[in-house]
Amino acid sequence: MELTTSDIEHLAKLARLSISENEIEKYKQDLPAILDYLGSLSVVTVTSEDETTDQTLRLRPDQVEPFDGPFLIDQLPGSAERLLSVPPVFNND
Amino acid sequence: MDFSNLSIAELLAGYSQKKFSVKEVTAAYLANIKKYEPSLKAFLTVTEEAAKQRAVELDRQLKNSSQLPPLFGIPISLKDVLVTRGIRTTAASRLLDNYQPPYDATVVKLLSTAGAVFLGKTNCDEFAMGASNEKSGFYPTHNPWRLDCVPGGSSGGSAASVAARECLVSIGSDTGGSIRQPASFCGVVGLKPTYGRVSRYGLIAMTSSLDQIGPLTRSVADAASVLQVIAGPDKYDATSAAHILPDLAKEITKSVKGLKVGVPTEFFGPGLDKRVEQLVRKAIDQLSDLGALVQSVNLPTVKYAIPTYYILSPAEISANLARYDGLRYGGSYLAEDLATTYSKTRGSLLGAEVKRRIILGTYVLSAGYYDAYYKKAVKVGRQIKKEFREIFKQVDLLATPTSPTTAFTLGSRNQDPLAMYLEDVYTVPVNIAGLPALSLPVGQLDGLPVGLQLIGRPWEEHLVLRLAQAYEQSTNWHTLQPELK
Repeated sequence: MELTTSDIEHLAKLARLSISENEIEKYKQDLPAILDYLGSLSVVTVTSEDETTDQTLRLRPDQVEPFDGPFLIDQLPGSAERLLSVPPVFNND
Repeated sequence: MDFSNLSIAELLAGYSQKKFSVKEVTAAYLANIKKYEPSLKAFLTVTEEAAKQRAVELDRQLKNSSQLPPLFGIPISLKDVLVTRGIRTTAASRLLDNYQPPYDATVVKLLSTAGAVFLGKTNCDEFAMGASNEKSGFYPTHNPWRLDCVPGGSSGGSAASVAARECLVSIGSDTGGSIRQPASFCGVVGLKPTYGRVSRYGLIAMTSSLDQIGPLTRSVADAASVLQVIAGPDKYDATSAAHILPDLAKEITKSVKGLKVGVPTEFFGPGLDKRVEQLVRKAIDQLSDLGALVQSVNLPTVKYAIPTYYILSPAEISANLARYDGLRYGGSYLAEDLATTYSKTRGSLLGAEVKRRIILGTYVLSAGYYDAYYKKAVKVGRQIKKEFREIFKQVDLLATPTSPTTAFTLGSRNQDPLAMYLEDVYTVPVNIAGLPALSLPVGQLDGLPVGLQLIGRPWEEHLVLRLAQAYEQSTNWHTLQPELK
């Protein structure tokens, strides 16, 4: 298993994660060994397609419950006049 | 009087007989925090003023009440992945440094209603990803038994704070061993309940299909008292279940004669430190002396639990951590456009291990690799679960080492991620199968504690606790204290 710089850049882009050149080099060293190890599962023969699960999900009525709005707004990293402010999605360059 | 040696039951008795006040007990624990924190660093936030106020309030209640709630005046710390209203909650990540949650986790509410006094938020590996506490975004916690060693992780601050008498109880979370392994390294009791037993509402999510909340305590009886309070269904956690939890105080005193205990061969293979093995085998002999029927069993697929875990867990991490976009809360790196804001915020504020797992998770879920990695891991995980189900037709409980080694020195495994992943080799299978398990101290090597792991059938925490209680009562490992200055 080998990972190229562009493989790693592609994964980082999918994950919305900026990574440095140092990190890319580190991943090129670390990840192949980890992925080879994870790949050891390929030799396991799964004897039954056991689909049973003892997990039952509890559902609740979809009702609006009041939350502390002002408290939430105070947490916003960028806000203008109590509204969430975000950078533009598209740049007009 | 040294309050820090009293159990929950002893504190409750002392309060109701007016032998001492909540204020005195709280002050004694806060004094321990002041004394030991400079060398331990088990806490990220100490809520001293709130704890003092709470103590005064509880003492006022004590004057006019005869019946005390089950955790009245009990000093508790919370792993910093549990959200607390208006109190800084970081998940040990720089990304959430200064985050003030707008609500309390369900466990926090339950503990509070039961009378708990919260002393603060404990350190852990960032977003609970790690086995040594060295991956905290702030600073590593030290092991109270030997300060040059790690306390284990990810609930390392919790385990260290309990062992060092900085609190009586800590609440941790366990995704692949994060309660049990640090409990083993610090010589305390750590209980991971059955998946679904305790509500995770307000637990900062890591791997939602595996995460579970549980107590770290200095005795089995205290762990039982805490589980009794925090267990139960919650409408805010769809996976929390309504299975009845019996009266644990009664259950744990029952006889263990005739309980069938399996010892899985696969948990004693290469990689297990010989001296740890000797102590664990000695503890298992002790279970036999107490009347348990010990037999050897096999779980052939558990050797694939670690690769299974390191596919399933990063996959869920990559999805769960997508919420940290730098827009709604936490740290932010506001850039010229939205996409750059996302990637710069996450790239500059998340730690190396968290990023590595996000990249791994993205890889195993990406087109072309999904079937070979993720889908296969789901199937192997089911097979592991099935093997446990079959084995529990023959035996009531399983006994294994908690960790292959004692606590290692700080920095010694930090460079090799794969070596760190293998740290959880005996604890991870339990999460994959959703089972309850507990680690308790069964000896020491070179001044460092060794833990025994007891695993039970789903919803049978009472049997796990019963066998642990019988062992604890027949030894004095749980009474040993680290010498701290």
